[in-house]
Amino acid sequence: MDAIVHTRGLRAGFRGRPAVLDGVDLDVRPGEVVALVGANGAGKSTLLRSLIGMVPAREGDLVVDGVPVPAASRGELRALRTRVGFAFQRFCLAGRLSVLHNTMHGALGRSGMRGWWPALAPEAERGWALQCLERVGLAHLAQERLSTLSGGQQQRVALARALMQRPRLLLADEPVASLDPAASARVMGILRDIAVDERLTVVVALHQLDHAREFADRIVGLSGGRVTLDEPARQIEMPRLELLYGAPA
Amino acid sequence: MNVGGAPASAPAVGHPGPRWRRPSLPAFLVAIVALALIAHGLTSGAAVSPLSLVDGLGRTAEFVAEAFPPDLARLGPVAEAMLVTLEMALIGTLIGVVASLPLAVLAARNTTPHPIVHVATRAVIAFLRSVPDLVWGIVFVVTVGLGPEAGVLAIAADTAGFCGRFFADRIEDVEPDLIEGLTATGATRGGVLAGGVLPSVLPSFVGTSMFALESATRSSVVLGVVGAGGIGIELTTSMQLLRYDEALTIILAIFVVVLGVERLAAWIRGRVGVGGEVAF
Repeated sequence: MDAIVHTRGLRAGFRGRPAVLDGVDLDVRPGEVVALVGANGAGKSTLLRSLIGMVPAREGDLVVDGVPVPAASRGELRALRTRVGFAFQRFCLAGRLSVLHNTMHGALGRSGMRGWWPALAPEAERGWALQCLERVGLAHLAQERLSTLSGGQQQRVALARALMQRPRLLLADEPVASLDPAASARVMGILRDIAVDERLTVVVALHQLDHAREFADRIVGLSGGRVTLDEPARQIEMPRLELLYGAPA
Repeated sequence: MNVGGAPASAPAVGHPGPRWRRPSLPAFLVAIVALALIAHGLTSGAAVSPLSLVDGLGRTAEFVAEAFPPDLARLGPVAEAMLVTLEMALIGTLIGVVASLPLAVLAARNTTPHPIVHVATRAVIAFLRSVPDLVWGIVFVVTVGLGPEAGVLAIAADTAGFCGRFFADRIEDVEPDLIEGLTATGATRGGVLAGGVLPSVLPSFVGTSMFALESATRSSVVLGVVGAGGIGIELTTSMQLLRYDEALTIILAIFVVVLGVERLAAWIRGRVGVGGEVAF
């Protein structure tokens, strides 16, 4: 199997709630850029989180980067997460800490307690953090407090943190949902460049259908917890995408 | 009247509701019990008699007359005892703050390894907090003997309860998003704690520790009264020997030191409360 993400009949949901995913079949090949689209509640965020075991799989096959996620031990899951970058819609960063400190959090899984404070971290890790910030155009703000940055800049810090992990797979859950059009375009542009330059596999959940068509190699539509559309981005017509949101074709 | 140019035919808004609401039964009962206690206190054990107040004013005037001018002959021993008092406060606070860190991590809902550990640790913290520092002083005088060591331990126990509670509350206020974000990077529980949670709450911890130091400085003065070392024993001796001029010297020394610690603590709180990331 050469897919970096492989699911068959995947059912998953948050603990104590009904399953959101209701039999998802999906294969993502290395280097592919996949956009997940679908209405709220379709299962995009649940699918992304289930890929790194943050939402438990209840049934079906789920293999990510060679790791059978449902059967993985806690240590195996942690090791998998160190290889998978994750950018959240709400950034999930520490507002009080510096941009550099937040970026270096990406090394926590790899270097453990040695990397818990930038001043104590190995020089190589500090240098790599600055390169990651340079990659997203924020190296000049490395010492600034994160909360002083705009939403778009904070999302770029989240991308830098993900890059800090040296990931094989990058997951992004509606990374531009709370950003204005200019900031959205900037973030999506950086994400696209990273994917191409680093030959990184990217799975990104999006509501912006134009971004999905422009950015992704392939668009996967989710509806009611199932994959209802899976086609190359260039071939797909906008009316078919809009159907996922209940709009008339 | 058409205020602010609102159209006269504007649609009516909902009724604002009654100005006063009948209190709930628990609130009513609490008020009744509080009033009953005040009434009982004023008419019996805890009464404040105007006559004794007038009488007391006269004796206060006598005390002040005898206390002035302060006797500086024993300034050396007083300064030495004051130094011990300050050291008791500092060391006791340091031990208490360090002890409270693991307690807080175990007691906070979002970092505790198990709900039972959360409940048990909260109970320990509540116990440490609910026993007054003077009682801790008496206990430690019994266990380790008279002297500053008992005072240090009393302050440490009191500080551990105070800081443990506020540190745990602050950790619980940490955004769940931050913990989720760090967990997603593959960080261990310790990594999430040391790398994200503790750095985020550190300024608040420093501020709380400064409040604890202020409280400990005042406590360390009083702890001497029960034999737990420091300036308190000097003050008690002077008062018992009716050396009010010497007592005034001690009171002034206490005032200077407590005020100095309060100003220093306020300055440190101000430094960590504003500006960028704390540089430690």
